[in-house]
Amino acid sequence: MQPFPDIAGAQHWYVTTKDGLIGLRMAANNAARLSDATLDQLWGMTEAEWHQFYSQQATRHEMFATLALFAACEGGIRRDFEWRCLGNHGQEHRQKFSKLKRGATRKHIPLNAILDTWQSADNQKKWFANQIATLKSLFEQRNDLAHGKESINVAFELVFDRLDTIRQKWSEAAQDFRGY
Amino acid sequence: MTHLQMLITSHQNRAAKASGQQVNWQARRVKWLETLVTLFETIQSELIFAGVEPDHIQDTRHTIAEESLGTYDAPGLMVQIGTGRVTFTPIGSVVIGGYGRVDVDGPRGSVKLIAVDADPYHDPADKTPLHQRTWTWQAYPDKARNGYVLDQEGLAKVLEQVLGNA
Repeated sequence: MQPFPDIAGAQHWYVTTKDGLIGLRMAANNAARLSDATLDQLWGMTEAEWHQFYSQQATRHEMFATLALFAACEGGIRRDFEWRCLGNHGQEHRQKFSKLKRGATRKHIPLNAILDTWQSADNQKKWFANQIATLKSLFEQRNDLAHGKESINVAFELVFDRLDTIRQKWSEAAQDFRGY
Repeated sequence: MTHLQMLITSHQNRAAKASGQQVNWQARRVKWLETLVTLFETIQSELIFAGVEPDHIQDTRHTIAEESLGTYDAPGLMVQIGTGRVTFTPIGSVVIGGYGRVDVDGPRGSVKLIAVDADPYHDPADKTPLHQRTWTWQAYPDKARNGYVLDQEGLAKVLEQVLGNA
């Protein structure tokens, strides 16, 4: 079975597919042989139109990649949650998460509820609660993007950097955290 | 509590919460534009200090349309360094995880400059409005994993990335 994608996998996908887009730009600049489908798309464009087309493709690519990054992150947090609820290996904060699962009125537990539980799991680790607050804020902005709010900008590298930092701090706060 | 009462209370609570979180977009736009002006003034003086001829630096204007901030004009910069032309283009202030983005493009690559909170993991109980917080610039080269601070050394790295090594 393929492992679930994690944020490093999303980052790898972003980098390699962006290379493809850059390759297309180089190929177009050097009149290289391209597929008929791509040529049909580019045929007749002025230089200005081509620049605009490339810029739109790059923006769209970055947006999809950022959504994939968040999806990988959420998937990891949810898998850890399910495992934590099992409680068969002395998982940290097992009781709090099991209680959340038992008390859920719907099968689908909102991500925010899982993050809230993490945020209040250990009162001694204020710094960790702050990291989770930042993560919640990032997911709120992700929702704006995913729900079609126009003109929200993304910077894949910044989001990756933030998620990566939070992941490292998370592992310090709960050593059995399974990551994303 | 009846179902109707619950429904009304729930909507009232949500509205109260939303108004408490409301961003002052007008103030945010002013802060964003001031931050851009300061950024480009700093870059210009650093470049001139490093030997770029003043007439090789050109101010540019860009019209930006953002849902929250409206449509406005923002400053940018175009610099000729040797045979390479470098552009600094403001993209917008509403950016996931940050307070604004400027793209730097040159013949050899691109770097994103992101205005971020000086303390990105601050206490959520600290309700200082975004436009009153301290913003700082981070540089993120295209496809890189980690960013770096845009200080004098950071600017040299950015230019190296978009122009290549001489």
